Amino acid sequence: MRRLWPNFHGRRHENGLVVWRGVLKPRAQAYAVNILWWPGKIDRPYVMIADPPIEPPPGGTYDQIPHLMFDSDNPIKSGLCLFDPDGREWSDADLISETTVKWASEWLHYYELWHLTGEWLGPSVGYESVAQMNAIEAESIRAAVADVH
Amino acid sequence: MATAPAPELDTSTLDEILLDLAVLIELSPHDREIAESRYRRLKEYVERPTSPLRPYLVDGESLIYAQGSVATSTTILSGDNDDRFDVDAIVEIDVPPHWPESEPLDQLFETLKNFPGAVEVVRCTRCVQIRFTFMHMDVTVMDRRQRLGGERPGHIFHSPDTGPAYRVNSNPWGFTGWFRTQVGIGERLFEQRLKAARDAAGVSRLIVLDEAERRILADAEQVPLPPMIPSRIDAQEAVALKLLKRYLNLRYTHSRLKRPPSIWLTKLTGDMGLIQGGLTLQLYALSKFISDSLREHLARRTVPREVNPSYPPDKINDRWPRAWPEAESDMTVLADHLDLLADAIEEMNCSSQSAILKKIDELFGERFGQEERRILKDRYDRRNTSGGNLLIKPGSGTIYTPAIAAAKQEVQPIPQHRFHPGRLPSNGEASGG
Repeated sequence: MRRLWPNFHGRRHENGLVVWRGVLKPRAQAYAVNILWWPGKIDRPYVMIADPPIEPPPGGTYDQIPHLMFDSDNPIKSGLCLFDPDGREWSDADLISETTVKWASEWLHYYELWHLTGEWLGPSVGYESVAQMNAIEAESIRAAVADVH
Repeated sequence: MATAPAPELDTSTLDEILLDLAVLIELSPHDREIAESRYRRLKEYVERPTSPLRPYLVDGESLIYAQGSVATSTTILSGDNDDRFDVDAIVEIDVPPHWPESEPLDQLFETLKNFPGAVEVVRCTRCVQIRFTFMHMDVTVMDRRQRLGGERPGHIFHSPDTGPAYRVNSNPWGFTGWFRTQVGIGERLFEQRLKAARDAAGVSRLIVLDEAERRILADAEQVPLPPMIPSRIDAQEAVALKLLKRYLNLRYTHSRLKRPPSIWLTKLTGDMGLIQGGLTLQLYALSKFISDSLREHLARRTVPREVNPSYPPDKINDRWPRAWPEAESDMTVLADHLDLLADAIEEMNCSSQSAILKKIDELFGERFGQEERRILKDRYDRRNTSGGNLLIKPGSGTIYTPAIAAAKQEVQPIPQHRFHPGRLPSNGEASGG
């Protein structure tokens, strides 16, 4: 991580939760990003955009933003859904620095283009396949999100 | 909550968008060919046996050449919604000593008034304007009878509707040569980027007038002729000037004030030279360079008076700004416009793409903003796999297409994947799959 993303700083919590904070600048706008990884508790890294926060289009709602791990209880803290869990595109053997961070920056680029054009132009799986997360894992994520503040 | 720090001075996104815009507002290679054919046709027409100017041509041949923006590769579309290019030509003749100063323009008008394919021909204060669909050609007559030393200096004629006509020192040939030596040195990388933008965004607008024009174009393909329009300059300085001119054209469209002359802006562009670091910084620096100079004049209550470096008697901005006190409003308004542009560039360079395009709409016109949205959509659409993977710069995470990143050694491919919709079960909801 330090070699590819020197502005990301990681911290391992006593409970095993690892949090990286850093800045990505996919185009002109810079975004502060948090990446959470909790081995044994969650099955994929959870990426949140901290600042500026993600926003729906004017007059829209958060659930319209494509490719989120949408959290209806706390939409602004929804994570990014960066790969197809059924497509074997990521496993915990893959480096977060080589996959998750790159995909998060790409997600931000397409998020901006979505605001610009109204269309998600990135490579994606359709809405017929919504990834659900089990309640225990969701609870771990919410605990982790609460922990990073 | 963490706060995003001030961005590093990476202007690649804005460089990319500004380069697309510049390509959208310029003469395409096809447009240049048609413009070139009209210069040839002008030459044929001025030399025809019944031409009133024929007896006064130098050695029986008209010396006709491009001047102004088309010679400096800075021609842009005029107006907000008008797909029209304005180009300029010089016709050199030996003006008889007994002609009054209004006569050369009168004779030029008589010569050109039935120009084939023209929608209208109009006698203006210093030129005769031939209006074609999508193109105006301003033809200026120059007296070179005195054979002044230098690179083709001479006199043009100022002949208003009211008041006396008079001669004006002029040397457009020399000015073109000077500008072309000032810019575009060592910019191979910029040329490559400009070519990629042209391939993606270029638009041809001019249409062939008639069979005669088609014949001239075909002949030019068969037998290469010496060009009448100097070759294109793919220089960052020239591209920044095109954008600046487009921005100012829109600012002055509904203004009661006269816009600054293009040749004066061109002179200052040549004086400032290349700014390393890309098109965004070049345009920013050019805006500040001119505005700072105007603010100094305002403070000293003077006016800028630039001369043609190739022929100092040629006062290139003799009609702008006006003398004091009117000079104050001429210069203040322009300096304010330029400062607003510089501020907008700073703001855009740390904005989202949708915010940038909203600003582009304001600065350069909504039609080009819409075109740019289409270009970005086409460029980054990866909904099928044919577009090729995007690239990313480690450290910043900046995203590039392979074509744009060609010269950036430090980028890496983004591993293949597909974004996916998902949701967390809400508190109290039964567990999902």
